[in-house]
Amino acid sequence: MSEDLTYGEALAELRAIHARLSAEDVDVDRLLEDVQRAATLLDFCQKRITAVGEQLEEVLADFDDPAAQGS
Amino acid sequence: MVTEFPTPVWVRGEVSGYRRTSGGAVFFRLADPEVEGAALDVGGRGIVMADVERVLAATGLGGLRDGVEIRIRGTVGVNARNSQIRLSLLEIDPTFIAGRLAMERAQVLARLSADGALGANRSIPLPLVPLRIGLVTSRGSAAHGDFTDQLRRSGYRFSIKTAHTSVQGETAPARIAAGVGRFRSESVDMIAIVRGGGSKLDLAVFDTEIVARAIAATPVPVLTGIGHDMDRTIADEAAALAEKTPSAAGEWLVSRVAEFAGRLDRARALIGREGREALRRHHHRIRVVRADVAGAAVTLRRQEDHLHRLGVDLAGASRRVVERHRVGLETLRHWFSAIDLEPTLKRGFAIVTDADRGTVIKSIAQVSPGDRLSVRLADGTVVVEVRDK
Repeated sequence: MSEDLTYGEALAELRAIHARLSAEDVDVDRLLEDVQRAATLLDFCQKRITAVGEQLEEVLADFDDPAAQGS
Repeated sequence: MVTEFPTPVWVRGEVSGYRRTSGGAVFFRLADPEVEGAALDVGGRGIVMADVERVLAATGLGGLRDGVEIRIRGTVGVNARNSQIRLSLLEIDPTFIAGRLAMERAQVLARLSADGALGANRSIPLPLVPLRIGLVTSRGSAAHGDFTDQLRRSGYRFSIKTAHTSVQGETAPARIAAGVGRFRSESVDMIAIVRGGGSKLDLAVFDTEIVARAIAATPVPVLTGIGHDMDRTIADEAAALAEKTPSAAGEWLVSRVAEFAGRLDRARALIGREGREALRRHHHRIRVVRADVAGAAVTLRRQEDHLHRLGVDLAGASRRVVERHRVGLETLRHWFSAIDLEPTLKRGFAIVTDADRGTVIKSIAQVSPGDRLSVRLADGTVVVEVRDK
């Protein structure tokens, strides 16, 4: 993905695609494109959330380890 | 052979060359101090002298000696061998000596009062701790011993510088004055002049102007301890302080030092008491502060606990947020994978739409022969025409 996208924007776009594809008359021409876009966004969000989870654990390790405090 | 004139005569003059034989006989010259060369040899037989000395002792005047002015009665005799005239002493007039002394004393006092010399030494403040003493006395006298014993027995660290001086004889006044003067240039707190008891004639040296002036000229207070029961001497009058005996003079110095030592002890006790009280107050303050600090430590620990709990809560909450998003994304992925048509198209299915309108054909009712339909397959789209229905 070349564009600068935030997690929030990516998630909002994912939800929009989800809503579009849930409708009665799906635009089949856009269907593939939408699904591919959704897959990309999902990957992006998945990576973001994994990275955030890992960083969070690092920060929380400092939280829990008294030796790390004040150092 | 001496020829004596029978009628006794009264004569007066100043004694000089006084000497006494082992048998008690006395010889001296009696001179008129105002007329040079006017002098008479006097002799007193032992038996007469015993009377004369008894009379003098009874009036407190003391023995005859050089320099004393006297009035005596005797018979005049001429020594035939050398033509010398000599007076044979018969009696002495004690009231004359006493009167002379009193008159001289009064004259000296008047002169000293006139120029303020009497009050000079008395106006000097007495030292609080008179430990360095300049002592004017006769070496080895009882007065010397009594005075120094008092100081030694006290246990205080007196330092005594002594000017030994004779306290009898014609030169005594000048020597006493010199002794007092000597201490002007030495560091002493007080000068003490002590002398044991004596006759009026003995003590006459302390009635002299030269001694009084020496005392007046001294910048250090003078203390006298001149033993006498009767009148104060002029030295006593001129001194800052006069005690009646050498011992009393010593006692005064000791009690003066003791008074200061007592004040020191009381001050020391007071300082000790105040110091302990101040220390007690500080201890109390420290206890209070320590309790405050302990209280603060408890508060700090509570804050730490609170922060720790906040941290734990925050950790849980943030983990839950991440988890919720992970699950949400997973759900979306499943959903999207379910509607992805590519695998379905690859298996041979197709999507048919109206080639002109683009609508998805879900029923045969939507088409008629001749309609152009767009058929989407896995690898592309073909347009077909409906022939039959």
